Amino acid sequence: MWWMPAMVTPRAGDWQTFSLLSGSSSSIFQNVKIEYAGNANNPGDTNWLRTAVVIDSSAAQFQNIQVLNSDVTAIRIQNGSNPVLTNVDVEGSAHGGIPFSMDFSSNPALTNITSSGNGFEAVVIDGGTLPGDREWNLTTLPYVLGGNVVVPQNVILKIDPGAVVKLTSGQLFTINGTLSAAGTTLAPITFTSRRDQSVFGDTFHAGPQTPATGDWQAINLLAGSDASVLQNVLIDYAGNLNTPGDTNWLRNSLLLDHTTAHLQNVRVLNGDVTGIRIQNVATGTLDHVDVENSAHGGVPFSMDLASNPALSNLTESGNGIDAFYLDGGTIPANREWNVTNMPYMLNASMTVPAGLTLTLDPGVVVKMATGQLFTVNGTLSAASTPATSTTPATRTGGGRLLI
Amino acid sequence: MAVRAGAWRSTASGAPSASASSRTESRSWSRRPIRASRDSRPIESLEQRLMLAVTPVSGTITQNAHWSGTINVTGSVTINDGVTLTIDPGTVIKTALQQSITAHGTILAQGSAAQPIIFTSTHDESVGDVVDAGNGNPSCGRLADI
Repeated sequence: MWWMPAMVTPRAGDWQTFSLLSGSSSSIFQNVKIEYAGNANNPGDTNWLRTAVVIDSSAAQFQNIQVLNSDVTAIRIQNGSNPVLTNVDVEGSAHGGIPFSMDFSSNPALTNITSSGNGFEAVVIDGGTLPGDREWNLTTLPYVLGGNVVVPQNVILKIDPGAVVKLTSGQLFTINGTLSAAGTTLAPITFTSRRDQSVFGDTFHAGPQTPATGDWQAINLLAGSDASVLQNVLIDYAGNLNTPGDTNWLRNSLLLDHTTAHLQNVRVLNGDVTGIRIQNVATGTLDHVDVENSAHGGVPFSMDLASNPALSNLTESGNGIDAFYLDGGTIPANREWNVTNMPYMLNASMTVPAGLTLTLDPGVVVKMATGQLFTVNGTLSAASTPATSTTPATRTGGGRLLI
Repeated sequence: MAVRAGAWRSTASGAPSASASSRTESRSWSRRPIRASRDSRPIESLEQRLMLAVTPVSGTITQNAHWSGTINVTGSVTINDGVTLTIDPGTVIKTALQQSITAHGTILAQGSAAQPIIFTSTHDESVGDVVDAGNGNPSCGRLADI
């Protein structure tokens, strides 16, 4: 060639920002490439990094878009923006740049969103309280949260099959509305540690990482969450409010409290302590629920006597105590114990008061600790044979049965 | 566009005075209102037409506007509310150091797979026509060093 290559090559941050603000909602971008933006001063000046593309209070439409070589965050969606992004790819964002970042007030329609070569590869959503129904539908990138998530009463967070949420220290889902997470066998929904590279690989380009029990906190299904559904869901490496393994801040990985939530084909793995805690008249259903490898002596299931969910096909392995753990006390109404894949264990002495019946299904095992007392003033029905005075299917341990 | 760029480079390299002419033309255009670039391009000679293929823009767009060819955003551009900026397929928008594009109005940037619309740096010579880098080292000056 007769001419030499350019002496100045383009760099990330060669120009500042492309902003779509209020009034730009009719904008349409198709087959557009946006390159080398992201600095208000000189390329690479970390004091002046700017988001390359800002969508603020806008419902602009984007289709077949590439945002390349930004100096930091490539695309930020904020302040009640409802843009449509289809086939949008972000590559090469410098300075730990995020490919996609959004706040909770925005509700973009995202389809086929991809990224590579950025600071990390994810859609980052600020934490906070959902202001309205939201749907997390992406299966091309994991979701990463900037903080805790609250789903308030009468608001629905719908998570689609195949979605993955990667979470970090102490992060918590508080559900007072509806968490609708119905995955499928082939496309389960995953809540896991940011260090978990078994899904979407090394999202944070951190090199080989080993996730730990307690890498994030929990999903709490609370009053108002009755319509919540978790199907084909994996909850992995939860269980600590602080740092993984900090025994001062151990938490249940999944809490069912004042809820009738429906769980089916749910697995809770590698919790920092108790896998699933059921309390305060939680009466939902748990079918095919498996809890494994709970640390710090954690039990797979723990429940108070006020709660009475429908339990079926519960399994567990590798937990601190391999048992269905029950608070002691007095049963407040008739109860039937039907879990046979693991023994029941009592946290304290227990009473069946006069006028109430406790039914133990065939195969049920109750293990009791030294000094524990099982008092029956009402009816204890074992092996499907009603009796006012009998023994349970099995009783082991150091406690006593007093009838 | 590739043919024009090649011819322009040849001219710039062979006749440094043409480079100065190019810069002068660009600056005078930057003071003009933003308007449809193709319609206003002189076509008397190949040399002149090539210089003007790059349209410098800056400031506030207050009326509907149309961009095509290579656009050099020399200063930040704002599209006012209620105004539509239409960008043709194949348009390359090269924005200078520290500058931004801000839309309070509508941008219709509908490229095609074969002719995408590209927003990039003034230093990016891989697409569109070469523009002044805006850094005191105009591209034609650099080419004159060859």
